[in-house]
Amino acid sequence: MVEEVYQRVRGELRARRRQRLREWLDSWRAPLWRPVAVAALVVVLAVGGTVTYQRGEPEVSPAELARAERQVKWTLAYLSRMGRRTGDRVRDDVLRERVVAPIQRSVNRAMATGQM
Amino acid sequence: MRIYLCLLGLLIAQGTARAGEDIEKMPGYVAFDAYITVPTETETSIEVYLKAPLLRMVSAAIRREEPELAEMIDGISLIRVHGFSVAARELARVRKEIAALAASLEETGWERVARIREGDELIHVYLRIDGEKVTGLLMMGFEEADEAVFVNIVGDIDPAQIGRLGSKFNIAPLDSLRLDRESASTSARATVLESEE
Repeated sequence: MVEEVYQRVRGELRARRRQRLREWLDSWRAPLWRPVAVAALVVVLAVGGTVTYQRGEPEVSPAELARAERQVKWTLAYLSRMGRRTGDRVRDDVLRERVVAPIQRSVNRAMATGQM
Repeated sequence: MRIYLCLLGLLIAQGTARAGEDIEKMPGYVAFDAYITVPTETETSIEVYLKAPLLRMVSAAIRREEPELAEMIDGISLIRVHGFSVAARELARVRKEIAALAASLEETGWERVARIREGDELIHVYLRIDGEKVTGLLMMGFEEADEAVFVNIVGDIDPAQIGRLGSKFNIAPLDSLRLDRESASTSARATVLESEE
């Protein structure tokens, strides 16, 4: 009888110990597999995304590339030419708007108030 | 776990944003179509629309021979040019639309650097400046009395560099590019643009 009780108590203790060990292991296992799984997912998505993005770029023939190069140069040349043409005009605009006009306004104001 | 999910979400969002590279949301982009109504029967003399991926390829192709130009192209996200003829009866309307666009630009932080009128030609030049960087350039107006032209450059721009580099190339009439587009041959290249160097 005593032996039976002893065996049962021992069994219960062993089971409880196993349970505690399982819980302890689980508590370690959870934070371990999660970051590993997330990291793996991130890598897969990053690689997949990069490959998809690169595949998404247009395939360009040498002729198309040459045309694009020509268009870039044409645009730059056009802007440069317009820039050269605007050079003197800008100076005139700036002088007229920022120097001549304010002076005229001051003079007019002064004359109106009879300060001159 | 929530933190990991948030991180993952951020990564995916970043990846999607990079892949899309929404050019229309860049500060230097001007949606001039929203202001300018191109007449339906008009003849398009030039249409250029070069986005970053193609520009990067051009840059890579010319890097060895023209490193400075390649470096400049690296900073550009979009080159867009649209030129079209305007019938006499449409001129007043297009001029009004250009004026409305100019006013809108000035309201939204663009800086007018030039406005030139030479006879029938009227050209507006605007720069978008963010901090110390020029992030957008818009040139618009009438090249000839009946030829409206819009040029929008988006990206990291150095106007002085554009002027310097652009002056190296001879410019062909606007419609030469349209003809070229139909028969994109490399042999035509030399006749359209000749480097002065």
